[in-house]
Amino acid sequence: MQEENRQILHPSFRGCRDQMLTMVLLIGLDVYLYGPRPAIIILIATVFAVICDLVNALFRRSRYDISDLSSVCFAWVFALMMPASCNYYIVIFGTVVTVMLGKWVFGGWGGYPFHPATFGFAMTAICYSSRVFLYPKPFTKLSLGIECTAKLFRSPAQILKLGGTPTVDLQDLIVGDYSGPMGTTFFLILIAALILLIVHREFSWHASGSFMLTCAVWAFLFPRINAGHVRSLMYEVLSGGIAFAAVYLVNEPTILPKTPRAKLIYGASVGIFSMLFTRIGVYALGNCFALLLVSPLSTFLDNVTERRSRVYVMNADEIEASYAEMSTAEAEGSPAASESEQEPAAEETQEGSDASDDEAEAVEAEAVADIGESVEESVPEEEVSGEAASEEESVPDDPDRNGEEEEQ
Amino acid sequence: MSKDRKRSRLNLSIEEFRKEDLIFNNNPVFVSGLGLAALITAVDSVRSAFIISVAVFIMSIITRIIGNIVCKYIPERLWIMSYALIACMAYIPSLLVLERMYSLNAIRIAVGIYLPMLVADSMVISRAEIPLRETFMQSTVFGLRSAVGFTIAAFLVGSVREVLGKGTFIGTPAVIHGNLKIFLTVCGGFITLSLLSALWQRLISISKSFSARGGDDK
Repeated sequence: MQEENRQILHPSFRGCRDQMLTMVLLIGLDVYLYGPRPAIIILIATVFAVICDLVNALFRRSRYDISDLSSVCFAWVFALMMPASCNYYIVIFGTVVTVMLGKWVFGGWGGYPFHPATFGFAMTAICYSSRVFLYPKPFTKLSLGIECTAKLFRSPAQILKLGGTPTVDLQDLIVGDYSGPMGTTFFLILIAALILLIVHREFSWHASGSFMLTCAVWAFLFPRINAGHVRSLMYEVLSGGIAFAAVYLVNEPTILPKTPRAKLIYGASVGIFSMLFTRIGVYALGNCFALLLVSPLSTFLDNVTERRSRVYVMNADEIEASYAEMSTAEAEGSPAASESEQEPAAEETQEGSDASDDEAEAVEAEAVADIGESVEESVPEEEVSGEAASEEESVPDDPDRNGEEEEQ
Repeated sequence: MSKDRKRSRLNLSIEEFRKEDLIFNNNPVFVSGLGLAALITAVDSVRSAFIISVAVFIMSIITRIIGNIVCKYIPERLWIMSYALIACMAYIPSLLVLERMYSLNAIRIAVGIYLPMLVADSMVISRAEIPLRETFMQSTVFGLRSAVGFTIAAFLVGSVREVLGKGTFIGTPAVIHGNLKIFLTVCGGFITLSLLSALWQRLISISKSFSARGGDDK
């Protein structure tokens, strides 16, 4: 019964369900810090993701699969990268772009070359850059109207981008008590979610680990502030949305390379490009743009790493074993030939062990003739006559046969 | 028997019409993919669409007519070059016509380098790739049709990008909430063009299915 249910459910169901369960915790904390507005934003994103799925099903004349949670999951990921004071129509725009342009334009789940939420975020960041990168302070009760009237501040990542030094404590950075996007500030919970998902075997540690390590090493070696290497590492890693990207963006299973080595390279390259984007790019959060750049290369990374692993030198025993396997596979591949080979083998055991190859061929020919007779017996007379007629019709093309008929 | 003949003639004529139709069924932009550079980069408003369309109208018709006459005396491998040269010549009257409507500075701001670059655009010189001779009337009619098809596409792309990107339609405010700046960029041009061409293809398939149903009913 459980196996049947698994077959009915969409392949994305389990992974998306686990991701969304971890995101519920982040949403709950957002509601605690900012009031009910984040919950409304998530609700709007959910509703419009489902509407986009329905519209797509209508256009494609396909059945709407309710167990395909990927659209809702992407919409939640996108919404959690927005500020809690975000206008509702920005959320609607981003959700529609994420689901329709990011997911369905490429054929649905598994067809997209990059994470749809990163595409939605990039589009929203370009269109609404003045509204998306300003955040309310925690424990401010936000109004529920379309336009939020609360006072907005820059995040520590943006202060770093502008060349300043943030004044947030380490404890606040770890707990998430500072201005920032809804889901990216809770470092401890994000790390717990990552460990949970790795333990549940939804994710592997390779891509996330290499991504975070690369970012940390880069921040330590090339600090943007004069306060020292350690403080630079602290601010870059804890406030730059790196943990959020490591959990929900880098580990998208349909985009991630298949081999562990490729995953390590993929994570490291995303880390390098995201740190480059934060320094050279216009916006403080460079993760999404780095992912848009690196994600299409995952297949290439797979090919490169697989090609290296193919080179393997076998010893003599292994070569013999492989030949034996090949011969058995060929024998299993042609059952008619194996049957015809088994019969002479049996006769050989009856007559004697030193039967020649010619005798075996003769026995094979007899077996083939027997099969032919049995086929002719099973075919109705009318069909046989029809076939004969067709053969006669095709005969005049053959000049030798024509000559014989004329002689007769 | 006579009814069958009439029906076959009717079907044949519809098929022939589809093959020769350069406005809807074989739109040079949405179906054949010609002249995309100018549409994606330069056409971000109805005004720029109008400027580009006027230039394409003049240049494509003149280039096609003169190219058809001149190419009788030129080897086939030099056709593309000669078409581009003729388009350079046709660019002068198109610029004079546009200058009567707008100032040169306004034209430069609206479409920039993409107006002179039309002389090497596939929309204007793609005819040189087909080694078929046309009469004067045929070349005029086909040049006119392809220009009309391009104009429709340019106006659609320009109006969508202007409404979404600038929040206006021909200069008048059209959208209440904000502007989507991305539609004024090249990326937005690609997105707009791809969505519109998908919609166009869908309309073509619907029209084909309707005509097939009509044929079956008859």
